Amino acid sequence: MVRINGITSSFLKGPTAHKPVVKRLILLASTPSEQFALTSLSKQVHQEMAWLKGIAQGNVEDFKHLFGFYAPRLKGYLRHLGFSNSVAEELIQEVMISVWRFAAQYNPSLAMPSTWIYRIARNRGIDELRRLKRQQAIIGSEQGYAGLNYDSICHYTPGVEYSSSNDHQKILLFLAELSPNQRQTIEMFFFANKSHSMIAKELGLPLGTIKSRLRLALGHLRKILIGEENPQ
Amino acid sequence: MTHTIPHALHHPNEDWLSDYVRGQTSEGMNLLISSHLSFCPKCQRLADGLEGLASTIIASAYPEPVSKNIWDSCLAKIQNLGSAASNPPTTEQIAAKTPTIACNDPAIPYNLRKLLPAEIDQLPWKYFVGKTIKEYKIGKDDGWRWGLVYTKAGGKLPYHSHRGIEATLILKGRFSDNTGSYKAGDFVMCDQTITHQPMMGVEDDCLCLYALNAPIQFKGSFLRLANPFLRI
Repeated sequence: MVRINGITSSFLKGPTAHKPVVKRLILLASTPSEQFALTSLSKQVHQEMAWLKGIAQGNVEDFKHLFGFYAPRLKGYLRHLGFSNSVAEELIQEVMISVWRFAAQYNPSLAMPSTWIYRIARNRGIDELRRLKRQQAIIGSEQGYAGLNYDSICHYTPGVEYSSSNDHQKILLFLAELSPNQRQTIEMFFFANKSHSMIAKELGLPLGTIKSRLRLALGHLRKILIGEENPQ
Repeated sequence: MTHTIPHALHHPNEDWLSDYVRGQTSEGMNLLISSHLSFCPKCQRLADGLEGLASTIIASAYPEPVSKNIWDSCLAKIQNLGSAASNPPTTEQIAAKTPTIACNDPAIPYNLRKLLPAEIDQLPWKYFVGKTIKEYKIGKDDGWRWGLVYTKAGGKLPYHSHRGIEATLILKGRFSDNTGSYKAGDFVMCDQTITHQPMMGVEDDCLCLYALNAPIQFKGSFLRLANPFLRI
């Protein structure tokens, strides 16, 4: 299990929570172990970008590396969404084949490789859940899946100007700085796709605690990315 | 629904954006939020950040072993397909995969345009209250329904309260009510706590995309009888 280790700062809890991003970046870069953890994550992102570039040029070796890294992770994700073992493995294949087909459309200045792949997997997963639901609603109907289309993969908004590589760093820092409690809640929320009330029940905590934990953390992310506390 | 309703914020809050990113919003809310993102670079950036966060968590935690044969099967499939480099999708193929879009109004976000069977003024509108307000229903699912409302410049919607959530995205024109004034691109949410009467700007007609998860309640007995919004 690759986890973000070695970073134990708790900026979100303490009085440093309101320090400007730049100051916190300097603080974080100041200890070697923290720098190491962040550097290795950045290295992973660059490695994946290189694989996607290779895949766009038809390099099967690069595809094999990417598959080796992502297939088990996608499986963990899809299984947590509630798919059976065999359906999850079918979906992984579809997602990875889409990656192969559309790798040339991947734009490293717009998204991290993981974000791009997650988007494909999530869209495919949601479509499948909706299809299964419809099938249950109309017993005996055999609606086949039409396949991922170009649209569901390339829905970036043209004209949005920001450097995503800058945002990657900020997101990695944000994750690294989360307190264990917040990290656990964020993981249950984004990885296992659980609702606020499901998380509260599982952790045996009041719903309000979960909601404020998430609000605090995500409001902080908004501030890091956009520089504003609230939508304006 | 345990989400905070962003009254008078003009944007979806973190609760709604995260659900959008996690694929947990209903189809109608999904359409409203994705359409808002095409108007709003800040929310787009935050949504991208949340997606980056979710994907980083997935890429860094809880892999599950996959069966050996799925790599072989994937490899066979991509060898059949040929590489993306030797065989990139042609403009014609991309066009063929993209359904013909009947509505070409550049002010309408792409995700919405592709659901419309005709140009805005050619849609099979249903008139309501004289000839100043008309409605076009797009879809319903999961207890939500969504569609377009077109109101003549200077017109006003009947005074109404809400039994559930009413989300509105202004596509053209502007309106104001007791909570604030809103322009094209603004995302407005109301719930049981709000009773309002949106008044349209006098310069332009106002076109809105709405999603409701409970009927709204018009004040006044005549309107209650004539109320097409009562049904979900």
